[in-house]
Amino acid sequence: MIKSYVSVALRNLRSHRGYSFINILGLAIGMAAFFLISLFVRDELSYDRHHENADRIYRVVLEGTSRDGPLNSAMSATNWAPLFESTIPEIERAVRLKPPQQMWLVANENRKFFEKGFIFADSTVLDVFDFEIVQGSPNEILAVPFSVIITESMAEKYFGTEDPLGKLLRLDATYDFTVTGIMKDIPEQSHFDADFVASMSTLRTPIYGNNFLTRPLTIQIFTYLLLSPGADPGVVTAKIDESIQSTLGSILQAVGITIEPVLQPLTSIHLGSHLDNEIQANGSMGNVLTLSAIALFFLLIACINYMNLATARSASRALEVGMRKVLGANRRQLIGQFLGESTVLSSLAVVLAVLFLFVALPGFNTLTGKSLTLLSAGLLPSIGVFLGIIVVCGILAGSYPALFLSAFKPVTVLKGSSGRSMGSTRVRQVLVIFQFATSIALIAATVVVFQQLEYAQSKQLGFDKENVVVVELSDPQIRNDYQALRERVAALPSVASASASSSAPGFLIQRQFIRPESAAQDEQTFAQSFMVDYDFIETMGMEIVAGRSHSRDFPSDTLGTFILNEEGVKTLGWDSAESAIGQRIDSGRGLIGPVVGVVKNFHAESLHQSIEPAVITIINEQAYFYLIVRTLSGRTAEAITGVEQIWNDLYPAYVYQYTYLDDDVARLYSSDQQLGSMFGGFASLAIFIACLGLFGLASFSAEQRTKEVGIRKALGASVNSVILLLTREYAIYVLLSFVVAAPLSYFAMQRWLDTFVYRIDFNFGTLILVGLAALVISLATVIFQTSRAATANPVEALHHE
Amino acid sequence: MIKLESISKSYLHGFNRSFVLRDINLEVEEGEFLTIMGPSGSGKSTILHIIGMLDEPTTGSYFFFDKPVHKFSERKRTELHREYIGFVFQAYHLIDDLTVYENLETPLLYKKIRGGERKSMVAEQLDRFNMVAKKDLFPSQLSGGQQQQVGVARALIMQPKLILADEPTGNLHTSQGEVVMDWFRRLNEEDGVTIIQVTHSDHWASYSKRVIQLLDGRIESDTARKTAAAIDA
Repeated sequence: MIKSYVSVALRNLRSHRGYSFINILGLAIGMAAFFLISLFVRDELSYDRHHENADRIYRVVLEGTSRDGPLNSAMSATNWAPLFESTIPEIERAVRLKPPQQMWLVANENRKFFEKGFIFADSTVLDVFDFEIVQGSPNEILAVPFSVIITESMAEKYFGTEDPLGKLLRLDATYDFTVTGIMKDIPEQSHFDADFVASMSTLRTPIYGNNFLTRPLTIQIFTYLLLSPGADPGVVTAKIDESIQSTLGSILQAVGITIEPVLQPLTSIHLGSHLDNEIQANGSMGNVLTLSAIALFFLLIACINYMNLATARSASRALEVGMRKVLGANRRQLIGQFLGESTVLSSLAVVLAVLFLFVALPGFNTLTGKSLTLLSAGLLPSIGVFLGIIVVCGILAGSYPALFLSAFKPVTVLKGSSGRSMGSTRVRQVLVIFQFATSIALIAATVVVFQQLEYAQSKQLGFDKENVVVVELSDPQIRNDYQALRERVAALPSVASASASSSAPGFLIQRQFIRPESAAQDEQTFAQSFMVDYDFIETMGMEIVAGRSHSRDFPSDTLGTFILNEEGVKTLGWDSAESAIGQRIDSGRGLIGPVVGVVKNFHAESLHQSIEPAVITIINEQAYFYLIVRTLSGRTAEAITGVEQIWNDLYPAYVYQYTYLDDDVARLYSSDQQLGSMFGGFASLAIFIACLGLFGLASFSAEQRTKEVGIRKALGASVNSVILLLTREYAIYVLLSFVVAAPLSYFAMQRWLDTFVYRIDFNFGTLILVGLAALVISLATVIFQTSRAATANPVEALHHE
Repeated sequence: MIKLESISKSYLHGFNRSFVLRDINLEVEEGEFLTIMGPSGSGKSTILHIIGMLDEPTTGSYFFFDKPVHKFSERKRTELHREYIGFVFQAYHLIDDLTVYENLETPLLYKKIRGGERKSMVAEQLDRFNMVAKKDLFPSQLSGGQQQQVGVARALIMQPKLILADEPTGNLHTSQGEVVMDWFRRLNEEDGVTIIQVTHSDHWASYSKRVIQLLDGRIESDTARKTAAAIDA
């Protein structure tokens, strides 16, 4: 029986090639998109699950408030881990991780590279996390200061074929680390990345300052806890809270801060945690859910195509159904036959889908920054998924046609009524509308995302991001020679001005407490902190609204003079920019001085964030992390080469690394950009599949209506009026889809736009344009079929009947 | 074998009910060869479809071997007709996508007959109708007469007790028609198969032993007649 189903199905496919092609192509695209998204979603959901004890590992993070708002820190204090481990019995092990703030220069003689994966960790790291040590003894590996475990790729990169064990790696041209172990590369699906794991005890030396690990309230380290089996994280949280309040309570009260520890399950970090100073940018559960929904929609849209085409074609299958019933087929057997057909078709579609995946995966990986492969999930599970897709699509797509076709009454068919499928028209309309509504919503979403990104690109940010090059000053040695560097750079003919700062847009923005000198000790404000050189305001192209910029004409400017942004003026309680001039600010660290100027508000962070108070202070060169160079318009390339020569002259041991400020700003939106590109890609595919279906429908409908067209033309209808008649139906579908899609896109995109503090308004004009575009695309799809039907010779059509 | 009691069939057209069959009472014994005649629209095919369980009467009772068919579910009717009834159509109604062999095999598949047995039944039927050489052809590759031969062979493959033929010779040349009718006569006389045919033509009616005339959904006359062979003699 099965054999007969299959052979009938294959013959059917062959004898209606165009129809089969449309069907298989549509299904294959839908399946490929579904599989692609599934790979992505599976990857996102698998983060940090490779650790054997993943369900018992928690990260200690801090929530709380300062006077100007919430504090959300992924980091905790440097001395907590050992404290908690020794005093709270439910904690089996605790480990601290200290990732670098910027890239380190790592060198094995002449092999030098800047590395961002150089982290420090307690030796307990191997008890908590599953790092697979391939060489070295896990118990001694991180026992002494200046020991480091490197990954296999790093071993190859720095040592080639040599055995790295016992060899030295030099950090920042200063510190020598002994390689004591080699581990397998950490899987990509990890919320932190580490190529080098160095012993935490190293930090008792002056790398980060002498008392880095013991100073109280140095919120600069990540703390992870491995709880004993069965321990209640709630109880542990309470004990940690108690411990914090008893040791730090009075200090915290003095600075007006409350903190509350929170234990984050390890596996929820990647998709669930979006605190300040995360180790690396995390994914978003919202995106994963949205994409999952899109994946399901894709499968549905593709299956709907099949349903539509199969039922549209029902007239030509009706006779067969009738005959089979006469020959003794019962309904179940016929349903079996039609499901068999759809399954055969979906099997062929899977083959094509796999081809599409081969083509699409590299691009998708570039877009998502992942390295997914067809077999990411393993060979057997992948085959299982494909078989699953075949069965699900076969049944889903085949179900409606099977029920519909198998219900034909043989008598009706035999009586010669053409089996024109009136009953199914309504269902088919609903299905087409569903397809187009999905497509329109996706297109609208894409357009809104790109409009917002365009807005972010073109918005006045309060500084001029064009023609600015940012050079990282990653090392104290480099900063020592800063003055020489700046003077020579500023003298370049292609350079307009040069300055330096501790923070720059697109990079980590540091913060500090400030308060009016006259205010009470605990009335501090948390402000973005820019510790800069002269000419910062001019180089960044910021606008002074009151007072003056820092200037070499005022030698006392280096002794503590402040420039605030307008928001800072407001938060510190002064009425206007002018009235703030001359007021004295205490910025902690013994620096007290007058406000000499006020700049217009500027967006140092993305438009997702609101403008915060900012303070710009002149401090010496050890605070500068970025050399900022404004070039003359059109001479940027020349300036970059010029700076490079100076750099190589001054710092032969260091690599020259620069970025463009406008790229740095754009990078703030990379995940939005990624979302937009994904939406765009999937929206095009969705409308393509929908149009394939529409094309199929139009051709069948044109065929079915030849007689009607013939009669109308015989009665004197013009070709145009017939085209209009045949096309109107599709226009109505698209309009109805638009009515369904419009409110959905409106609400969905409002929610997305709400993640931006500075955002465009949802533009109904755009939505209407999208609707019109969908209309045009769909009419273009059907016009060929309808005009062919309309121009046919009426006599032939009537004779044919 | 067949007993129709007060069978009516009607359709609603707007507010009017139009009758295709009115108060038909008919009994057919096993082994009869019956012809139903009448002008277009007199309800010939409808009676045939009701007897064949492809259609249901609006009112009335239908007993097939004393079983109350009018009370049966669709599934049960399918089982019954699958077991006892073979159909032959004017337009042959072979399945276009299947070869001759597969067309013959289809009823056996639906009756879940095993592969080996199926093969031998199809082979026997091909042999009996002299179509072995054509078994792999598709219907479109056959002449009308050949197609109807396949149609008859397909109707007979389940060895039905009743054959319902709706103008079986309507699309055929006379000589092809003779072949088909000869088959029917032999089946009726040698194997005792009951045959009910619908036709317009007196000539084809002459093969049967009993003729029913329909007019406007009623039975006008019901006459036993001598067979063509008897007339010849």
